[in-house]
Amino acid sequence: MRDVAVMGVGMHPWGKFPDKPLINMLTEVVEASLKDAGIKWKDLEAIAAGSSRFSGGMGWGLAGNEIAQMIGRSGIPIYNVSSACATGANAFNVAYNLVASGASDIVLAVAGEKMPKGFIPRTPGAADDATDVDYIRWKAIGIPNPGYWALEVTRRMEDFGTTEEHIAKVAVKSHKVGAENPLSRYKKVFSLEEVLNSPMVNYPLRLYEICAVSDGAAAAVLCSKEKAAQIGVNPVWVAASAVATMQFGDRQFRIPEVSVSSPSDTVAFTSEVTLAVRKAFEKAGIAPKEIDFIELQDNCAGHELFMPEAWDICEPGDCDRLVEEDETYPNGKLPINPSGGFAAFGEATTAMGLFQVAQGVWQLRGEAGSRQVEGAKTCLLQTLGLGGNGSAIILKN
Amino acid sequence: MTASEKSPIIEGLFTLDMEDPRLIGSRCTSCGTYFFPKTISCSNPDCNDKRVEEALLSKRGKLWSFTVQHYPPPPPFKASDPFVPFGIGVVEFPEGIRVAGMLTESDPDKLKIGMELELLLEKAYEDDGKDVVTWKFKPM
Repeated sequence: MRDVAVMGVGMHPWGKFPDKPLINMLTEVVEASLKDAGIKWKDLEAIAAGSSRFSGGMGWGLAGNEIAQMIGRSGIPIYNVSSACATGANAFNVAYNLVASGASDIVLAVAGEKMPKGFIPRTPGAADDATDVDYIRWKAIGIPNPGYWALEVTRRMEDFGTTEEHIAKVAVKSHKVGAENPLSRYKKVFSLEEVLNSPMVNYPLRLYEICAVSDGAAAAVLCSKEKAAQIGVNPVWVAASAVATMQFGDRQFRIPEVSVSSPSDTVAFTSEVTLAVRKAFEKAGIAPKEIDFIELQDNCAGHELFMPEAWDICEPGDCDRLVEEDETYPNGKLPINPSGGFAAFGEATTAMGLFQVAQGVWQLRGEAGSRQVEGAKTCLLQTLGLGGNGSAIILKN
Repeated sequence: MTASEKSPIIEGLFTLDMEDPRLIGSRCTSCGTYFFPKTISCSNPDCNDKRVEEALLSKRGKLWSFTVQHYPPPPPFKASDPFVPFGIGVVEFPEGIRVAGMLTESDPDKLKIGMELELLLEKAYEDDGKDVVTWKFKPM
């Protein structure tokens, strides 16, 4: 497998843009990433595009084709990738594999989404299907996505003595750091009291501790080492790109399931992600504790506590100590989400993996301004999607 | 006064017995894994004979975790009006399966992980003169 470089990235601000069609956002980020990479559309040899769920793509999820039809009909292969909230990273993984294998020398990874308002409901128009667990969890129980995250947090409080303050402190950090990110959606800074007094949504999670949904789009240009040298721009390297799915016996109470069969404490927790993360560290030749910073999927503030422990970056329970001592800020011992994370951006499901790539690349280039992780050499990027889709990317400079 | 006729909120998930209900799942005839709801195949990758048969779960289990739903879930859920927050729990059964369901208790101070709960059926809403019932768990 060849070395793969990220030559350029482009990212749209995250937010709500009701008058801006998705294709407009996508063409902007594609053009920005090409310019950043110092190449032209004609130089691209393939496209891996996130299959947008809620708009565009001619109603068939064909975002990549829609982009090529608009910008350049060059006849190259286009792969539209679908893995819910892991889509952006999985599209990146397809692009990575095309270059690493030698199939292509320069590939574009792009993804965007415009999200319907509010916490994600059962898809309007979906059939009343008694064999569909997603129908069952809504109709018979009424448990929304934040409810699943809340179950993990309540359990953590029991197992480790994590308090509501620990959770709230993470939210305070996300919003403080995110407010300094020019591309974030939420610029409001909250005090600990404001977070702890925000409305309860799913006990013990409060409103300011749960990510919202947003419109967003991002793109990255990947190329071989040889091409990078030819073009002459200083790249960031892909140390690893890994994808995994759910493993039997994983004790995670996973959206949208209503049961866990034979849960085991020896099977990787959140296996779709943890297996991908383990593969990524192995491929990169780095020990988990050596990583310089993490961009992870903080659907709720609690994820910053239990996920790094699941990946052996921290010992069980230690993330609570790090949060107590403010060590997960960009200037701390283990910076987590120096971008501001999903909390400050809101989730544009399809695009999040590439949002993390753009943020990671800018950090590793030393271009993160007041949020710069000093001396950062490596980062871990992680997303998780419905259906048990997990991804991990390790970048290095 | 005659009791209203009951109808299940979704067919096939539980026995419609108001006194002694049970959740209806599946059990793999080869590796013994339980599933809920019923399934057509065993999803244990180490199990090669994936034939499953219908199996009822026990009536009681232990609370593994819980949350409280503080806003009305959107359709297809039929929320009460005015909305009253309700507890949702994950219950661990002796069969080695954990199942989610509404709780009869909504005060987090009265819920303790590890407490024993019992399955019951309760009215979710009325439809066409019938009580539509769903399964819930009640602290013992």
